[in-house]
Amino acid sequence: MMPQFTQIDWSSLFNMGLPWIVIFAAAAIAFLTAALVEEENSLFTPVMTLVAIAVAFALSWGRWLSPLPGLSFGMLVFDKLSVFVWLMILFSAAISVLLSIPYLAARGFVKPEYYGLLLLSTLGMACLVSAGDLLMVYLGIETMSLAVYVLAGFLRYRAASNEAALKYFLIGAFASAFLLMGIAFVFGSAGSTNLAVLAERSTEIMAGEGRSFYLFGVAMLLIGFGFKIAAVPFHAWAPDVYDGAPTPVTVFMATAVKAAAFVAFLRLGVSVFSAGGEVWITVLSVGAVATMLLGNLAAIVQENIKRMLAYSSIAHAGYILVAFPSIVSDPQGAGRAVLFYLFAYILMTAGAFAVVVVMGLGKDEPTGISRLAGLGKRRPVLAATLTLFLLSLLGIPPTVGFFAKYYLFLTAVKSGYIWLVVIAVINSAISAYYYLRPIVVMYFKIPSPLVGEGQGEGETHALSPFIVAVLAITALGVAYFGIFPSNLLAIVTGSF
Amino acid sequence: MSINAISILVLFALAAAVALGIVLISALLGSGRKSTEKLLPYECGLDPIGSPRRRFSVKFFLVAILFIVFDVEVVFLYPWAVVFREFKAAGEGALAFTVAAVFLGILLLGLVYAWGRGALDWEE
Amino acid sequence: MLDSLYQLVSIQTLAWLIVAFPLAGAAVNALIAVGTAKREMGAYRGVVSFFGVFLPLLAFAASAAIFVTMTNFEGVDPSFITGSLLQWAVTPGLVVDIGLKIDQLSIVMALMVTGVGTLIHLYSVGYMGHDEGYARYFAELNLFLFFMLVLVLADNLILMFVGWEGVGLCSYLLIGFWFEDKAKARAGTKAFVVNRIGDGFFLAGLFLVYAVMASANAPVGSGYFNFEMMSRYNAYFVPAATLISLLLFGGAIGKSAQIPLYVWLPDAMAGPTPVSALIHAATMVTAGVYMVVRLNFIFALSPFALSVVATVGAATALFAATMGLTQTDIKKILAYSTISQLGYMFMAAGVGAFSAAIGHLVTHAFFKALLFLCAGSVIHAMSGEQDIRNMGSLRLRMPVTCWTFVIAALAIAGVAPASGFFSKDAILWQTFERGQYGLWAVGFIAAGLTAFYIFRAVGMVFFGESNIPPEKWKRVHESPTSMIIPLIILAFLSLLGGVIEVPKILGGSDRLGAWLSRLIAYETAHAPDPSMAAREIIVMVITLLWSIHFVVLGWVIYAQRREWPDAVAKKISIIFRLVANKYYVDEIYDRLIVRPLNWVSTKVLWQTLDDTFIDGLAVHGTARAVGVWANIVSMAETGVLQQYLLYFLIGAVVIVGYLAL
Repeated sequence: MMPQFTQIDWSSLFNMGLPWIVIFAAAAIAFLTAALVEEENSLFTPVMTLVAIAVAFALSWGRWLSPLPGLSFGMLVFDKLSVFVWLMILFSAAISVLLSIPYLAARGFVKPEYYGLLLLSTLGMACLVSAGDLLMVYLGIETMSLAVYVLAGFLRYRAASNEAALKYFLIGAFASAFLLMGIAFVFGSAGSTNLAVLAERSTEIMAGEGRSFYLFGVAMLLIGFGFKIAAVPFHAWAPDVYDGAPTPVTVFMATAVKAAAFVAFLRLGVSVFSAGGEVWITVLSVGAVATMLLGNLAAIVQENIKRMLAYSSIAHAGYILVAFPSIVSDPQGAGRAVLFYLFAYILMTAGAFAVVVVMGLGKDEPTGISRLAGLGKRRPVLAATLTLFLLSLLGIPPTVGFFAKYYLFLTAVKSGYIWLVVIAVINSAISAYYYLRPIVVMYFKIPSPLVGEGQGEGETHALSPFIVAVLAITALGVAYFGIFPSNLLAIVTGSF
Repeated sequence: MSINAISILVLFALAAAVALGIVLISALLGSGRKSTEKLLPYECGLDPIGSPRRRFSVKFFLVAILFIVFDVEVVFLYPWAVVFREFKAAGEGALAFTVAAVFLGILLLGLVYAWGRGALDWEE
Repeated sequence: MLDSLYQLVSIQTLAWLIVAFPLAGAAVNALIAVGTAKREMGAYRGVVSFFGVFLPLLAFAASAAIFVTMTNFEGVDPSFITGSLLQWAVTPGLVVDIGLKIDQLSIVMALMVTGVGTLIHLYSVGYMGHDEGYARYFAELNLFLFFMLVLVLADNLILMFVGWEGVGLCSYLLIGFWFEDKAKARAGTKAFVVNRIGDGFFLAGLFLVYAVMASANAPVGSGYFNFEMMSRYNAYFVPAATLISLLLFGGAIGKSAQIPLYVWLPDAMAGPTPVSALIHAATMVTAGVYMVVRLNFIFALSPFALSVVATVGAATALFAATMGLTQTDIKKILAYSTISQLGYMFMAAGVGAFSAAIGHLVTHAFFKALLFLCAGSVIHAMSGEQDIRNMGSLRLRMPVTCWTFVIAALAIAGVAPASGFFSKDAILWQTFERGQYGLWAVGFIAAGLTAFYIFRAVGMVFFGESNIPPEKWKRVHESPTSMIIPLIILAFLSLLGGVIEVPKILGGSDRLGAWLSRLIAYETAHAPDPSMAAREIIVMVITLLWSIHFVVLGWVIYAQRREWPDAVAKKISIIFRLVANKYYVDEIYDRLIVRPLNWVSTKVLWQTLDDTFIDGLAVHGTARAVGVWANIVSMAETGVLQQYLLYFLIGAVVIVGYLAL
């Protein structure tokens, strides 16, 4: 016990953890500001948050560029993968902050805690993506989730927001129990919760006495992650929560939370799935099919663009799951495809939700798809950007969404899961319906006079520079990596 | 499927059987005759006065939550205190102290926040 | 002078500039179009005209400079590539360069495209002068030029395909330029959709090319679709050559309006007339021919594919010529004539006379552009009237238009010494020489028909009695100078353009054939037979007389003696009556093809197969099934937390249950 503790190279741990400390310090400042300074409606906290994120980003970027191989501290693993994913998370956190500024200002509900919670959640994700141990996974997930539960209910005067928070919290607690039970069972059968140890021993365990305990434990872990990534049938919370939560928080949940959970899931998968692969392949591929089908089918009938995007996000989780069975035979290819997809997904989802934020800038949240009618005429640039994001989500070249799907499906095909890819492609075709509908509405529908009265609220607002920044960054990213996917591929290849 | 797994299933089955069984048995064996006394909420033999659903201040919850947090803090400090001597003996006393200080510092931050936000002000 | 030019810019940069100038023009004009939308253009009109015409002219100058430089090389292959501007690597298994290739073929095409293009841009200044969408028009026309040059100059098939799709897009935009008119917008859509069918084949061909190159273990880094690489790995194409050639030719059929995908071209005449001249006569529609010639090293591997190309070309040449006989809309006549002439080019390519195909492509660009521009001039003067039955005698009012039209008509009819004579003769003779007598006969007949229908138009529009109401007649006037200048220049080119391929037998040297010979292995392998010389003269003379005979016939009948068809038909042969009585063709088609086809397509294909099975069950059925399931699935989303937890639990039980089993 003692030797392990003293053997840790504290200085390098401190060095690697420096970006985390920056984020934590910023969170602390945010909370202290909230507690000690009577400041409302000031830009201090969000700007400070952005600066902290930028500093952390720069530090982590330096670590990503440095040629160091992975550093492992047992509990925490700092390799290119974790640093890269953390960079993605910081990016989407920054986008959420940028979107939050005008969003909260429009509602007159500016609180420094908001940004503090966002940062704490980001910190939880840092633990999650760097976790080398199941306990760290649990710790990361809980830190991340608790903050997000509160964020989801942050607009406490809105019933929908409260409902979202409560639902998310209850189901989340339920899922955490599964996760914890899974960890317990895995520990019981394998004698360790360390992922590296598990990877080493899993073949042996699977052949031995503890097989059933181990399988059961991993299945419980799978369920816990299934909740986080909103895979069917653990998805039901997602539409309600995404819909009810403040839109910038929805962006955060749909991008950062999902990416962090997926990467932790990926790590777990790489460690444990290769042994006794057949079992997991069936579970994962059935899960992928169910998730894609349900997400796409349910998205078709949605009238609310936030709900539509929520189901679309479920469907996208399904697409990503298509690559997971390949982990068994081709962990590297699957990992890269998943990373590529997550990156693309963050860009396009954040962009699409940013437009939703613009739509709902008024006090109420007019997010019906019919509200988009005539947007192509009124705000051609905004409509064009939304079109770009939707096409990318649909997977039309030359947007990044196409290549993301392409690499994902390619990995699955290479590993021989052609039937899975066929289903995925059919699902993509189904998704065309609901992705193209807002475009049709924007450009070809005349706004009905009935909607006219509330219309002005969200619309008269001039675009905030923060939202313009988000739209510009995401749109450029979607277009740039759509035309030059090889650049992104190179980054991803360097990370996994 | 090994014998171990079966034993787990048996455990689950038993747990479910007990939970369901108690409810079922009491429902089946009970005569089911309802009287005023039986339907009254049980309050230590006294007749209830008024509805139990009453609003009371949210501050109770706040205090309760804060209590739990700082209670757990103390619980964490016990094992630390126990092994602290060993660390000191190994020449890592400063490190152990710093770690505990960081832990307390974070909690202190929470306390400051709760205080600053007025969670501890009963009168407001 | 060129040396000092190359001290400033390298020849590679100059090649890029050819492409860059029209793109810059498109950008500038698009900005102006967006900026002045819904407002008076005012002074911007001048800016648009300047950039719209000047930048294509610069592109032409750049092409010309490169061309002159290339002609100065003696004995060395002057072709070069620009190298890649950037690499578009999609996967480790696919690298696509964005680079240009300047060789004997592409520079000729570039010269033709920029030259004719510039003239038509100039013409448009007058023709479109009063249109509200002036800037948009020039933006689209410049953009078209850009894509056409990308198509022509690309050094690989993918970039060529980019240009190919780009010109399709511009064609769609320009056909539907007056999109307020539903019929015109629909014509644009029709062109787009029909072209997509062809493009589907093209794409399939591309995939096969990739498969071949990948299986040949060609180096990925230099690009599987690079023309250089493809021709180097030529031998590997043998097993798939027929399939690849036919698929690529499928693309060419769509773009170059051959049977059976020709239907979009006559409708495409809904666009402004300069557009018809540039896109639907001189340049874009010839892209298919260009592609076949560019890839001649693949087509040459498959005699079967070549014979298909030749047969389709010949059939189209004849078929479209007969269609041209019956039209009364001046632009439709020219449209069918374009289809017919494109058929000639494919016939030439199909029999292996690739340089003859390119020769006809170039001269055709001159005279067909001229015909269209003259037609535009007439339509302009007649305030939109396009029916030739309502014209006549226009030579009195618009002499320049009239005589330039006559020159172009002589050229297309193949009357010496106009350019069309040489290029058409080259095709017919080489077909004959290679023993393809059947194809030759078809081409021969079509040549006569061409002469007849074009002079029918000449007679009815410019000669004979005027059918124009007097008050309209007064307002008919010659077109403005900016429209006249291109007519005159093109008239010279139509008249003299033949010098590039005067055959050896007439004391010429077939310069075009020699110029292209490096690129076309198949043709040079064919050794000329000295004993053929006499036959060549005989065939040439017969063709010439045959054409002239029809020229005279058409002109006399429709200009001088419009009552003749009836009178003469009684006296002379049945054949004459067939030719004169232009409605037979329609009736035969109607009886034999249109009606049965209509019946089959209405009753069987449409109502039974399409409505009931494909639409009813497959398309709508699927959509309905999806909709039903969507509703069912979304019903599960009740908002009730307990149910969500139930799903959760069911999922957990199912997974654990599966594992336990």
